[in-house]
Amino acid sequence: MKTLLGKNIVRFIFLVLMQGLVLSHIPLPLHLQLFVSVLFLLFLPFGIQSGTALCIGFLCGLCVDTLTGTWGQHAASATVAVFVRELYVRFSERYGRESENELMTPTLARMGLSDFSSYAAMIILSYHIVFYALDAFKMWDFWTFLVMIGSSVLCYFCAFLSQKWFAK
Amino acid sequence: MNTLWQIIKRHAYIGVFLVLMFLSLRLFFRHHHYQRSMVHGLGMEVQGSMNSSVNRVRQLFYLRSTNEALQAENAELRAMVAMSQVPFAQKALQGKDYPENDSVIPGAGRYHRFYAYIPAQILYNSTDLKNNHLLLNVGRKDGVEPGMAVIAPKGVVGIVKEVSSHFSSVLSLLHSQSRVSVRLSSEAYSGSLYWNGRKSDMAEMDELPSHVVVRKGEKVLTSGYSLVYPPGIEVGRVEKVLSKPGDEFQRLSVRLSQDFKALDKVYVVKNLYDKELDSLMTGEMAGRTIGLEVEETEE
Repeated sequence: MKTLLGKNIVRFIFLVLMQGLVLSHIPLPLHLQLFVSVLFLLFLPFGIQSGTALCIGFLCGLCVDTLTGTWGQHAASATVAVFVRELYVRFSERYGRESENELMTPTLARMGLSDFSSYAAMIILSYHIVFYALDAFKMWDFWTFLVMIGSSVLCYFCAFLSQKWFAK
Repeated sequence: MNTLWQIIKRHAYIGVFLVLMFLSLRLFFRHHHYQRSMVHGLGMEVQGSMNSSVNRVRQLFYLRSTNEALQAENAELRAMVAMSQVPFAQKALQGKDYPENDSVIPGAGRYHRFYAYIPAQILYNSTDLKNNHLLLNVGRKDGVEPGMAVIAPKGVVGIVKEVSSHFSSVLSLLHSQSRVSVRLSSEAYSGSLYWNGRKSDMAEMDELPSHVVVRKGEKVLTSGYSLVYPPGIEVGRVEKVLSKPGDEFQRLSVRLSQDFKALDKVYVVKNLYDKELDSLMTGEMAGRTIGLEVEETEE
């Protein structure tokens, strides 16, 4: 329990600083953006109280906002992503609160490929959709849509690649 | 009760989610001006369309009172038209053959517009001074220029002297320097009308050849020779002959038909061809002075 909390705190600090201080200053081709802070939300253990999880997500987004100067954009996206995550937890039979009461970090090894890929896709897409929707703030123009999909795919790869570090 | 509490507790996270979303979006819109303006625009659009549909329903309830108000206004406008426009209609349409100003009057054939009328309201009017002036509520922006004539429903008023963008000052007929080219209604001979500076309802007509027979009460009209005043506007009626028999020219006392103390609404008369005529007249005037000199030497 203590180690899990410690791990998550380290993950939080590392990813938020990484996002705010490093990645936001590295321009990627085609205006793509890599949001590693989503990974923190992704690997937040199942079994945390929904309200607490939402607050943690909001705080994570707010920290990134403070570092990048996007003011509320990441906070809103992270809140929506965590909300989607909570819905997933509630409505999935295997990871629902009733079935399993202990804390569990959602990883590829524990969830299996099909569950993890759908779970990650849901979180990552919801985060990116909200972020780019707030950014463009009009009906989807094709270019914004492409950039959003591209950034989501990039983030999705990172989620799989980072398994080794977060698997424990 | 317990189950209700359970349900609320179970779904409390939705409330937390909404609160956090509200906070983050509030933060977002406070700092992102473009998005905020979009939201404001959207809000205004929604508000506007809602207001207009509500208004459409509301207007139905006010149709009756709106109709009554419009009717009253129409009556007032009709009275104004009958009073002020008709006397000028014919005079306004005398002129020369300029196709771009052609207008067809039912029952009266084809006419050409020569003068335009700009309605004006008197702001200041003096009648008791030696040199009287008026101030009108129309100016350069309404098309008024110095030198234009000002007429009232019953007679001539004066000449526009100075013009600002919204106002104009008028040299009243009751001014020592005012001169109007007039003629008697029965004779073609023209004379000059000026104010003697005594009574505001009397003026004098001069330069009328001595052989012209003058009847008391005869109408004095504008001659139209000056091209400032439209021809045929009634100025007054002959009161009496002032000159003695044997004088070269007759001098008449004229009672003005327009009461200058009761002036309210007037019209500024715009000669639609004044620039064209001006350029012609400058040449002609030179010729006329030469002609006069020849005449004098002959005498």
